[in-house]
Amino acid sequence: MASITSKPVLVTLRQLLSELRRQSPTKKLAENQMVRYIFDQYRKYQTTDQQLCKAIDEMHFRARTYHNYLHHSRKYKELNTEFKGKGERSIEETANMVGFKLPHDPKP
Amino acid sequence: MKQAVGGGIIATRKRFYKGTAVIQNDNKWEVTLDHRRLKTPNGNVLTVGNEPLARVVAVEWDSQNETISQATMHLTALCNTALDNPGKLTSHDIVNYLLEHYPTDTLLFYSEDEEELRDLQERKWTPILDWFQKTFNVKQELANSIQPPPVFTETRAVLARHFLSYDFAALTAINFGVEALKSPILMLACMERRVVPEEAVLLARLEEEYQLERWGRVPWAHGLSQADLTARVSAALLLVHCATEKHAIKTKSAQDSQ
Repeated sequence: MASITSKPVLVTLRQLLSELRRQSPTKKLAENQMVRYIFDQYRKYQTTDQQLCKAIDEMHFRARTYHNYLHHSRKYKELNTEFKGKGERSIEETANMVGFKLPHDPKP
Repeated sequence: MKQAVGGGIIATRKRFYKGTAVIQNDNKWEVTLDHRRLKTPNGNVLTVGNEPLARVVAVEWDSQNETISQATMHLTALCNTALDNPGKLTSHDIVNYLLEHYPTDTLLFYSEDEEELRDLQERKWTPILDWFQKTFNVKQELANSIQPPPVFTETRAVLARHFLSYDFAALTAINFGVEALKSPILMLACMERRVVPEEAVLLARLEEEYQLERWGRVPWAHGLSQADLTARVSAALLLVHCATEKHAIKTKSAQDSQ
């Protein structure tokens, strides 16, 4: 069964930290509250206990879920910015295309 | 604050806070943006019943750049919906909706026309369907052509009982996940930790993945859809699991003290 130092658990932890580093405004992970919280949680489950084995699996699953969330949210934003169209031309641009200038708006 | 984008106008907010934090208030947790408490659209203070959920919401706000991209903040949106309940729903409404969705579950509809696709579906979906029937002790037929399959009354009863064991906030999230996956069975598989959200979305989109292997991938459309759905389902699942963890911990400490 899973132990807190097993490879899959550590891989997930590394992936999770990588995502958090990318998304955090302060690049220093040590200052990141969520990172500290995650380490606290991982340490809590360090005592190998038969009863807690299931709890470790649950915690690992939660970490994978959170990683899914961070990773795919980021991917979505990146794809959106990469492939976003310019949008419609503004009225001014359209007018310029045919050589017109916009009328001045009267002062209110 | 409005910002012109090309010819269109979208309402966007600039990031108006430097840092985020969580605070505890009795048994509830709240999120602060600098010194302000985060509120729902209806003006209620955003409170959640557990620390991890508050923390991931705080991170959601902290990871915003200069402009707040509210459309992608699914965790916050789910908390808002649960608290404000704009649709004026009850838990029973949501459960009924889920039960109505069940006969049209994607996993019950195998391809009739394409043998290769059907093979793929059998390889990928059958294990989940077997797991589902075994775990919930129900029998479920597949659909015949485009007609939804019959559902035993007992199956409806089992599913209803199971869904009703979740509170309103969790049900809001479950609903959200089911809508993204178009499959109550896949959402249940996530909730029971049989699959992670990423896998669930791949299974939900099996036919699309199959078709685009054959006909070519349109990266922005398909990648975008994949990322969007996985973000939604994982947000929903986080909320459900955070909400139910508290319950599990309470049970354990009750046993310990005996």
